[in-house]
Amino acid sequence: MAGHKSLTQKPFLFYVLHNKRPFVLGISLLIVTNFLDSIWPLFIKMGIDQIEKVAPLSELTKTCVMFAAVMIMLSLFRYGWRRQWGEFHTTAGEHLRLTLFDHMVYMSSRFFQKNPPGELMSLMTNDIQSFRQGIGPGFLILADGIIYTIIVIPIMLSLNPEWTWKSLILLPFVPLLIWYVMNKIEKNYTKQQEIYADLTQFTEEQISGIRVVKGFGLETLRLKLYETVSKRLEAQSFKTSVIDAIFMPVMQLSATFGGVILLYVAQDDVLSGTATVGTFIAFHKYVQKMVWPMTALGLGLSYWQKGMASFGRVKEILKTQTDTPDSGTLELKSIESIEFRDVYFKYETAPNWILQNINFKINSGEKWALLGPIGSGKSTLIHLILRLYPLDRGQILINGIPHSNYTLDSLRKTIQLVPQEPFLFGRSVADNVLMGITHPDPDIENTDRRLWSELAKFQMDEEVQRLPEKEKSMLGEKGVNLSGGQKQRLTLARAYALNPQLMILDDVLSAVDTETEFKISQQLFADPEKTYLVIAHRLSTVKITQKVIVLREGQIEFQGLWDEALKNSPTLQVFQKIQNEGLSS
Amino acid sequence: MKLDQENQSGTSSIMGYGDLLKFMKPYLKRHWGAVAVLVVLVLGLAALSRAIPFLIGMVAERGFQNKDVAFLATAALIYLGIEITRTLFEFSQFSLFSFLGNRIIHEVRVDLVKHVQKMPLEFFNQNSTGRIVTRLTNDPNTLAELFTDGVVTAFVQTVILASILISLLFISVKLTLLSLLLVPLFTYLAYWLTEKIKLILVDQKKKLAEINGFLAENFNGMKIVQILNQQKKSIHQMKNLSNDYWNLNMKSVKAYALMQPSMNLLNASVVISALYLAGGAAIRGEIALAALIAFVLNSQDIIHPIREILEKYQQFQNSLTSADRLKTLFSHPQENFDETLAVESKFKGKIEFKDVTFRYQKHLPKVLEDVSLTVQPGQSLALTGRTGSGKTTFASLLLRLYEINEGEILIDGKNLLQISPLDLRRRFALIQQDPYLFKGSLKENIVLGDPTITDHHLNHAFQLVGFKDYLSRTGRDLDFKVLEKGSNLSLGERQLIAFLRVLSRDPDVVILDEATANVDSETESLIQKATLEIMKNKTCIIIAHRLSTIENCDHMIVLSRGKIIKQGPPRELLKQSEVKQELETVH
Repeated sequence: MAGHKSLTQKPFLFYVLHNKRPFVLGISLLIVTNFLDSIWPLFIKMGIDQIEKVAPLSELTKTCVMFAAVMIMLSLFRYGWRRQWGEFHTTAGEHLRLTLFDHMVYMSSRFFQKNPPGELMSLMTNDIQSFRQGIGPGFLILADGIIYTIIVIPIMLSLNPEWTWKSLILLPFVPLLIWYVMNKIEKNYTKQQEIYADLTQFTEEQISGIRVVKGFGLETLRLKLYETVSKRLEAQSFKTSVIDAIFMPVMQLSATFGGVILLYVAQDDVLSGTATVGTFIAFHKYVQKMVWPMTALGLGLSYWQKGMASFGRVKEILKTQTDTPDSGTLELKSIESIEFRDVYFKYETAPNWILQNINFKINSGEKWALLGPIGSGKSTLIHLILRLYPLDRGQILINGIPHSNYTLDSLRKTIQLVPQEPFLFGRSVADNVLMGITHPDPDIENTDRRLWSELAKFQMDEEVQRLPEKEKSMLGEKGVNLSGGQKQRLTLARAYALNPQLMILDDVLSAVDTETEFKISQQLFADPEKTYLVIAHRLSTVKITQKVIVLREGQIEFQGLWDEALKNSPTLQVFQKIQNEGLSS
Repeated sequence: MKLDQENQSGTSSIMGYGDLLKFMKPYLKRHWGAVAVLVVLVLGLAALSRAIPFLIGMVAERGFQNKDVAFLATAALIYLGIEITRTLFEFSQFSLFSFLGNRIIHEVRVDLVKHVQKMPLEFFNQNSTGRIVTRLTNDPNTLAELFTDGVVTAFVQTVILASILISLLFISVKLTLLSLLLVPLFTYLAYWLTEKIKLILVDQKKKLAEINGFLAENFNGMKIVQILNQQKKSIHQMKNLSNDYWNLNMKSVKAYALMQPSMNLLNASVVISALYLAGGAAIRGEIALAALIAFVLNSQDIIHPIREILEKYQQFQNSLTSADRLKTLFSHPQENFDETLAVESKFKGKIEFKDVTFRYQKHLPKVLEDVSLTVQPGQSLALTGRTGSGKTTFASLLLRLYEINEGEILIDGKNLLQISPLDLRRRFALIQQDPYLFKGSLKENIVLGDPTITDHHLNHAFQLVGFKDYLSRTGRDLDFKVLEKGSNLSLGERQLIAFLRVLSRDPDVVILDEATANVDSETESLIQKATLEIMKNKTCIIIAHRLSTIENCDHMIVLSRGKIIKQGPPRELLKQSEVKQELETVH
């Protein structure tokens, strides 16, 4: 996607250009705020000088009124920049989050295999947050420090150039030290997190294995081991906090030494009358105030660094192109035939072919079974049809045309695949079943009728009626618990609600009892319009299809009619033998 | 006891600050020395910090106004001395606090695990592992944060606030009262803001949890999203969530943006009134220049502690819930381990059940009903029946993993309640269908840290089964690293480890839950060998699934819905059609 280019190359500039108003306003208001913040000690100077000279009270009143006016303005401007700046980085963060999600939604299954959900989630939350922290508060603190220095140093120089350089001589070391300490904290914190992960894992073992612990009386022993890990965590956490504790003294000591130096260098000037006591007090205040900008440089740099490291990870993902691009232009309307021609496939992580030299052709209306031992490549094969994975070699032809020439949308409307693991969303039963319907019938009654007829097809209607809130019952963690068989039947209803022409079923009734499975299958296969490719483990179920493909180690061992299959396929013969025994034992 | 769901709103808690201190008391008492040193450090630090404004005031008056050069030199040294001491104090205070905090979490953590592992099995059945683990690892952390970050900061800042007030009052009571006139107003404003921020943060956290839930669902079910052509809909949903989150973020940005300026205004009101009032007094000659400067400088420091206390107060409330949860967990009863029970070193192995009835919870149906049977020492008993007939429960009761409701269980004629469960479990060995393996080597998983198991014992056990040959054939040895939950071993291999755990221990009674799932043929033959070895000369209770195992037993019972429906010698029973039917549907 070309749109990501400027974003991935110069993310900060990209967001500045896309949020000009809050950025420019934020920075301008910050400059004014810093200016006001830098001049207020001068009012203390004026006041004290007036008091020391025993000036009339009216002069002090004037100073105080001006002082108050500046402080009120300062508050207003400070509110202004904080608000604008907040908008700048909040908007940028959310934009990046959405861009990333948009990008990932179109990636193939291969991508999700390589990047497990946990990692993607951490990218979508932690890394986005840290990027936001970098270009928001990070950049800001940096800018704040620089602007502040640019304003305060001239004021100090105008008060007294010699005092300035002498009292500030130690300050340049502060940002370096802060930066160093921050990196150290970061490293130690990572170590602490690792030990924490160890501790969590140990605790989890203790709880999951509680039957073994109790059964073998391992309580004392395991507790001792736990204590060791916990102690290690204690030590590391302590170390991290002590390094953290160095932070404040480093900041303060530089100001303190500045103050002490000032006391020495200012003596003569104040005593000889070249400088007033008020100047001394104000200057002392400035020396203290300079600690923050110096700290800010170190702090800001480290935030920025972290944010950019996070962006690097986001960039990796944004730069990964999907390997199943939706570049087809043809609309698939109906299926006459589907043909595998010399198809080869392997996963990126494994060196061996998962599928080799696959050739077969299914015509419209035919019912096929796909059999083979675990790991023979059955699931992979059916995923290829819907372009959930790209082909490494060969072609899949639908109506004689490579399936990548069709739009993904039309391909997946005409063909439905029901995977082995029943996956339902944390929504209501009705929402789950009707999920795929893009243009629901405006007549609610029709939609309702459709829902119940699909449920009835899989003998789920009565079961749904029995749920506490019927079809409106929520599923998932906070909702009702369904059995494996019920879940499987709901996923089937969901696929059938789309009324696809080719149905691919991956052992979808394994958790249903034999009798129900047989009944449902018989009913489904009776439809002459629909084409089927079905994986199942119970031979009794799939025997009612016309033809069978037997896969073994990624290659087709046999394809054709059942009678011949039982004669010619050794794999099938072993299957049959095992299943016959299983029934009688 | 069922653990609460994570309380995301985090608003209400039954626990007060007093309860929290009561909870922490034993731990604090244990470290009273450190606590005492800390109190001294905090007080010393506050006093030292207050000395600086006075010193600067004196420098201005005595040094500059009265031109006392010698005093200036001394003052510079004193200043340096104070600052260095202050830094040292601050550093030690911080380190000591974090030492104390970390030590206390460690102690709470260990106490928790010690407590929880002695809780009855019911507890582990009712609560998911994830939830228990969160309680054991997260909650102590939150508690420690609450303590070091909350209670401690509040205490330290209160001391500092008090020291500032004392300094101001010391200079002039009237000036202090006048210049602090606006403080209550701003404090109220800040309190109101912190409350508001707290609510926004709660909403924000909830929304983030919602986003996380949405993402987890979509990433896990991306295939379905794509198959059903739902990509656009998902993007749209994400957009709405992100929009809501943006709005909440902006709300908190605005609230925070108000916070600092209002604190600035408070600061300004104090400093300006101090300057004006004290200045007026100085001009009138009522107070000295040194006092004036000390007053103005002191008044500047008053904002920071007020803000900190308010902030911590708010953070506090959220964390009190986790302290509350820990308290509840600690109050949950443990298994009844009567320590006074006599130690049994050996059992003959006679087992009697007399009219035993059991249910897991009051409102649940009976799992076993009026079960009576006797197994003589050295005999083997095959337990059969369909899934859910009560076989596994039967075995658990024998190990006293649950307490029976009615009837009694006798071991060698002695009531089970009179035998220490720890001894019982040491002498009775259980082999589970899917035994749990720990992360570690194969050997460690067999020995399980028992120092009495020697290499001799191990080798003997291995020989009986032919385990070493099997390992070398599959290219592994005893140091082979087992991954979490034994995920890099097959089910058959995991069962084999369970057999070896028992064979290397020579217990008095063995309870074997035979596997129903098919294991591969190689481990299958090893397991059969091991089963025969284990049955030799020992009382054995076998939850049997294989015909060959049942046939090898001395006695057999058939359970159905918690009742014994048939019992007798296996060879006779197996001929009856009723029994056959019951067994056929086992799978």
